[in-house]
Amino acid sequence: MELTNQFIFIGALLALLAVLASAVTRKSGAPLLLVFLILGMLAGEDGPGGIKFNDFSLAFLFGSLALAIIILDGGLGARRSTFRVSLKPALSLATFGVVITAAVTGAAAYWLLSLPWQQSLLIGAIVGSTDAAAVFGLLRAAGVELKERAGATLEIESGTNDPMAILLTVTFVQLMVLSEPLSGWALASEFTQQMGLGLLMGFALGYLLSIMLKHVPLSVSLYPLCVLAGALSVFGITNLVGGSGFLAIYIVGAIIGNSPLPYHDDIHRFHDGMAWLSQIGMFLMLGLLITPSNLVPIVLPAILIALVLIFVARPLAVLLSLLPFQFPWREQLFISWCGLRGAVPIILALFPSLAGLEDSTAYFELVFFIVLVSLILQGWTIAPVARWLKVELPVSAKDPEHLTLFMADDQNQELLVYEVVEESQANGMNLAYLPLASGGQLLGVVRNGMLLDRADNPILSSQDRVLILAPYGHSAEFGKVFASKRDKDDVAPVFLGEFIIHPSTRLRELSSQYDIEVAPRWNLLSIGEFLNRSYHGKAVVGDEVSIGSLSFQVREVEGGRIASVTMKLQAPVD
Amino acid sequence: MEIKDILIPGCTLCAAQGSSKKRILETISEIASQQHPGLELDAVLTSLLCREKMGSTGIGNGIAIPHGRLAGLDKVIAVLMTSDQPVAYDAIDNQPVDIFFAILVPEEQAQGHLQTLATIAKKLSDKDTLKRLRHARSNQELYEAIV
Repeated sequence: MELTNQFIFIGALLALLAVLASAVTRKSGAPLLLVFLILGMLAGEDGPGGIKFNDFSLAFLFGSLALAIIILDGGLGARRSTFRVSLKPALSLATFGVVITAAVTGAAAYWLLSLPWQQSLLIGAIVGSTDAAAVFGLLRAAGVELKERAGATLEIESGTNDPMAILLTVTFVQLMVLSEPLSGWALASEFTQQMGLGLLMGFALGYLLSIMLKHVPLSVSLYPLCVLAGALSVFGITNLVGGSGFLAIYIVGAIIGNSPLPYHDDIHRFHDGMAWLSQIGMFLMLGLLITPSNLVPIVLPAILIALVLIFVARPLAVLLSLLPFQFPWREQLFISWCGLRGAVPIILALFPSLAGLEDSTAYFELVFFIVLVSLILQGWTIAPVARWLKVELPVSAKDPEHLTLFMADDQNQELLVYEVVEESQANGMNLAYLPLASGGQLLGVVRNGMLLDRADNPILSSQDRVLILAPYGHSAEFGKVFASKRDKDDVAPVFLGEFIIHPSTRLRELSSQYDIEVAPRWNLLSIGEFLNRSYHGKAVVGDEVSIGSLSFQVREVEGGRIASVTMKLQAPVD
Repeated sequence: MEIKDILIPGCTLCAAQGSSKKRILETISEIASQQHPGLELDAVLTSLLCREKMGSTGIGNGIAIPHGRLAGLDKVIAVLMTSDQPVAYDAIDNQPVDIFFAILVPEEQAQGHLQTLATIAKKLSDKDTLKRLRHARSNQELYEAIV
């Protein structure tokens, strides 16, 4: 009884500290996961906490569970509309890219540490996958939103690359346990089975789950729980039949995230919280599990491998995997830098010891330190690098926070509630001029808890709440007017030098209107075609080309086509 | 370039009536052709409309900078106008527009067009200038608010 209460108290206290730490790191820009890890280490055997925790199997159980929940959350956030530009490149990174990363890192371990080649490759495989949760947590905390091409590619990549790394790791562990060579055929069939069953189970059961959610009447708070339990069941059963449970649960998440379900916002919010809890729990646990004093001898080799991983293996993997997709170099560089290693490698590093290999704690310690280096070096710099490489979305294209209430009927309408913020366009706007596109209807404005009389054409002011009824999936169009225009680093007044241009406007017309030089062979192209050409047929919001002193930026994309373009003037020199 | 180089007091109109984008552009063309003999109303209007076809010149915050190229002009000509009611203008921020700073640029003038546009845009990005433009009660006040 006493012991139970102690466990509850210590566990909860650590979690509380971890949550509160997020408020501090938000200011300092330190990667949150690093803080969790350090908290765990402080609570552990070498720290003031002095807690002894060395149970690898228990750690593995919790670790897998936490990972599954994090990947589910990633799947829930995947939007089908981003697949057009990002699915193929992401899958290339998640498969081919992982193999290259693992091979190059393995080779480095072989040359630098003179380990036997099986062990070297095993280390490469363990650190082969990237961690989306880490990347996106950091970017969100810094208020950076990425352009779709880089953002969605990273998101889908890190949702889908864990199965590959797991597969490689399991294979190499088997290779070493059996100590007889696995045939190429056995490897290929294992791979096909893992991926095939993962895909099949994910799609079939995910679809079933989404139908069930639509038709089974549950109390509101049970919907998110139903998703969680259903998805984890899929994860479990897929693993049991020999498929990749991580792939399956990602697909389940993506299916549910993309179907219009009752209370989809509750589902998202709940899983966001669950993913955080999993991150906190997992990193605290891993911090507890490690014995920092054992780390000293492996510091140098770990740093060497981490540097090769960050500066050679990942960039090479990105370059080769994205070769067919012709990404702009800035985005390739950014994706390379986002090869953050997170929890997956640490969990995978438990595999060798669970399989009963000798010297297996050495893997755990080595990998732990590699992840630590990656978290510090890349984690700390990711937001500034995003700004420096200009892969950020233009301010106007960000969707502001709002409440939604989905009405479950045939019309698929949703109720949107926006708060008018100080720096938004809506602030000070006459209600009658509120732009409502795509069939949105204004229901009313609530000020100080009272519904305003619309007959007076009230002027919106900050803290008003505007209620709009709109077709599902159109919130982005209404959001613009409520988005905060404030740019954190930019206190100077905004320069209003931007015009809308129809994408069908020909370069010849622009050239004669603005005296900009256009090569004669481009004359008949429209600006939309020119932009698309510059980005290999797949331009996304925020992509930009310059012609003379004018620059043209993709402003909206609808159904894969450029819907409007912004023309930007250079600010005059005083 | 300064605003007073291109705008004469006669080319300002405060609190114009007009409930549509087309009507506003017509009024601008009328003012330009009255104040600058030799300018054809139709030619001015066509030039402005031609540019609007490429996309709205509403740059946000209730401001539009209609512009166009015109043959036979010897220098840049501007018209500044405010409307008594904001007018729907398909502006970049979807907000209706009540401040219009139109410019007509000679077809032959090869340089400086973009610089002129940028200078005007910058002037109109200034919150104090906007406030004075919106509070102007006469054409003269409007003129003084911008130069």
